[in-house]
Amino acid sequence: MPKIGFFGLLYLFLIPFIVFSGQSPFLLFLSLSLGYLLFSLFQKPSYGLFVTFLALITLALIILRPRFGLDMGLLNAINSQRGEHPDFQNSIISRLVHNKSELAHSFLSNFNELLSPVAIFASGFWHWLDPYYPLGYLFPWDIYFIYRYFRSAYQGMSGRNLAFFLSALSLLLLLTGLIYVDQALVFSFAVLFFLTLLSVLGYSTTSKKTQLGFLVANIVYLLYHLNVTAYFKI
Amino acid sequence: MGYHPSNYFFSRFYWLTKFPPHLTIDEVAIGYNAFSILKTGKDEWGVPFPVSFRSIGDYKAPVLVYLTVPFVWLLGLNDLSVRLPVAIFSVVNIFFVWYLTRRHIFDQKYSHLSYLATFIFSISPWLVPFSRSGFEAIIALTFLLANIIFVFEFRKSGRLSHFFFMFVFAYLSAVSYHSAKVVVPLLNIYFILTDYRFFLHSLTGWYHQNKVSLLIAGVVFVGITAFFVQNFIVGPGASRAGMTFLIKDYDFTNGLLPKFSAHSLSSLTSTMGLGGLWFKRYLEYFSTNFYLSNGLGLATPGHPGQGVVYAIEYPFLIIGFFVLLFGRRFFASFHPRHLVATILTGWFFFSLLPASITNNSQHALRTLNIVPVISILITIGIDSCFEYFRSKLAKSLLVIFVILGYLLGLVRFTDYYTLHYPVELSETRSYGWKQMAIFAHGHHEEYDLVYVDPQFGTQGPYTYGVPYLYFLFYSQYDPNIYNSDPRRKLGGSDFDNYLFTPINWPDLDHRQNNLYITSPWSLPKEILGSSKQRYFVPFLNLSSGLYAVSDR
Repeated sequence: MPKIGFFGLLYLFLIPFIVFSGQSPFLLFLSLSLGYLLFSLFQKPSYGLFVTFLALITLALIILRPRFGLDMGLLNAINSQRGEHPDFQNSIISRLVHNKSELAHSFLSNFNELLSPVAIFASGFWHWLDPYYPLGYLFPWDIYFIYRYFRSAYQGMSGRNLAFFLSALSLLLLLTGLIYVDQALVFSFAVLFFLTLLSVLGYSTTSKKTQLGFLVANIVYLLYHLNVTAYFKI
Repeated sequence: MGYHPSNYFFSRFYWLTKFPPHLTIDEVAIGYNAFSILKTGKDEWGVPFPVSFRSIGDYKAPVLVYLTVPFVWLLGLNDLSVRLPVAIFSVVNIFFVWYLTRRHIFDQKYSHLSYLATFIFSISPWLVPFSRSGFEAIIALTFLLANIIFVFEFRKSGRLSHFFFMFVFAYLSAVSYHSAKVVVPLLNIYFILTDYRFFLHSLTGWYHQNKVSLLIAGVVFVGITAFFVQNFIVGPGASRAGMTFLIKDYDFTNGLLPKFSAHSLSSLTSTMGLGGLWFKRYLEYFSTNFYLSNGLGLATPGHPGQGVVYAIEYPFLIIGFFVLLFGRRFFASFHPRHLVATILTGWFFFSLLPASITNNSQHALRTLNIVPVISILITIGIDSCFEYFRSKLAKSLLVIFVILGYLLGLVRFTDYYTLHYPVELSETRSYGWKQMAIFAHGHHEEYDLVYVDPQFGTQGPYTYGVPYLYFLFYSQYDPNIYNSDPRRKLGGSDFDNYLFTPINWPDLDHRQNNLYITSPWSLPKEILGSSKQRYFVPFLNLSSGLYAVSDR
């Protein structure tokens, strides 16, 4: 674990996606473990860690029994668009453009709900709380801390072996987009925890005064949202 | 390949009046107002040479209307004369992007990338649809590009003339399209602030060299700024901003406000909610679906659509974005390298602001100013990957992969733009009014009155159009007569024997011989298909259409 200090540790405990997660403690623990392993693979490639990561993914899949379903609505829309072509049965263009690869839109839609920047920082909890309520999985200012982390780490990243990390990340992203949203949370939360750790590292590079200021801001932010969401009785 | 003019000619001018297949309501408004200015020196409301053109519920930016006047004079009032100015400006944009990237953005070592950036810009799906219709945003982008070119020229030379042109093009851009009013001033102020020492140094130099020129430039600057603020920020030109501001957004008015209103700290929660909604709207421009799935809105919502970039470009865009934030090596070294990156970064983030503070999420048109930066970032991303691979085989495979990706992307985009967009969205894009207007123009004298229902749609009267402009446009109705019609002076849109009003069939006097242009749900079923049906224009998806029926 990199040095993040006391404030950094407190910061970690206050992250909205943990406070508002709604996940069972075991699944949340699984997500955090996967996220931490991903972070470790990002810091230093290790075959052992990668195998552990795969084992945890397998465990998560066994527990979740994920539903991989065809999006029938989308499939109908694809067929309907194919039918808009004159002589669609023989048209090469209609076959080239409107085929099952278009089901990737369903993947993008799932992915968008859980791991787009808007979900992460501004409205990820819409499907938990309220369709319009703007509350993200992380704090809005985590964007700055993640940027700060990359700015300091950018030079050192060029020679780094990211093969294990990229494989692990791709697997998580793939699972997030492929399975139903409620089950995919386990994998998307792992990516969120990875981002949280980067953010905390970025946060730890600021002065003590700044750290304290943002810690207070985090507490006020959470109390505000707890108050408002409790008032809404969502 | 990238700089070959046939490329640009094809994507901008080929079948310009066929795709999209009909003029939008904004295009007919621009065309008829240009026609009116040409014939009378007044707009459709009788205002002589207006600074902002009064439209339905708001005011239009003036530049495109005035630019259309010579085309209407030369070619007459038709689809081509309305679309041609924008198509020509879109080609000028391509040249400006090449000039900007060649001369100011890329380092000498990477100057060849300017051709790639220009090529990517010229075939951008974000740009092509708006270049082939009468969209003011294209004109604003031209002036913005000229403004940015002069920003860099000024930074290079420190000359007053360059600063003067930088400022002139900034104002031209800002008065051309509403979203540019936000982006352009912010971008220019940002440039001056980030390099304020250079600006102050230049200012002192001009003062010592030529006080008179500086004084004249200062007076012109203050005068134009006052004119701009009076007419476009607080005057009628600001009405559009008031109509589309985020506070009017459905999510806010119907989703958040009702819940916040009873809270003991409702003013605080409402303000926080509005701030949160703005932040959400801003970040929506970083979502994958905007870039890959439905950013352009060329298909029915819920159907697979077209994003604002080609799928192949997306990973390179992300890489290019990281290089912009953390790397500098591509950028011109004759400017301070951080300056190029700073301007591009500011350009990128400011361009998303106007769309994020207005209603509707993910609006491709309101963010059009970002396209040159996006093209530059994709170029940097492609070249970064190319440099990353060491072996010739890997480089060759990358090139093949990129070319195939572009070919597939082009086929897909063309398919959506030329086939699915006209068919799936014909109803919402006012398809049918042109045909009806031409039909009515040929037959209206046979009837006592021609009733035209501005409400239309497949399901019911849910879409409220502005058909009178189509009837004025395609009949080339004399603006002198229209302006002086007493009904117009009272704010109505009726002219000649045309009446534009919702049609309630039982309430109308059917003893006369009238013609009714309306949707099927406002007509008795027995009339449809009978001898009283004079004309029918089906929507291209065949869901419904517009009917012309008569009393006899």
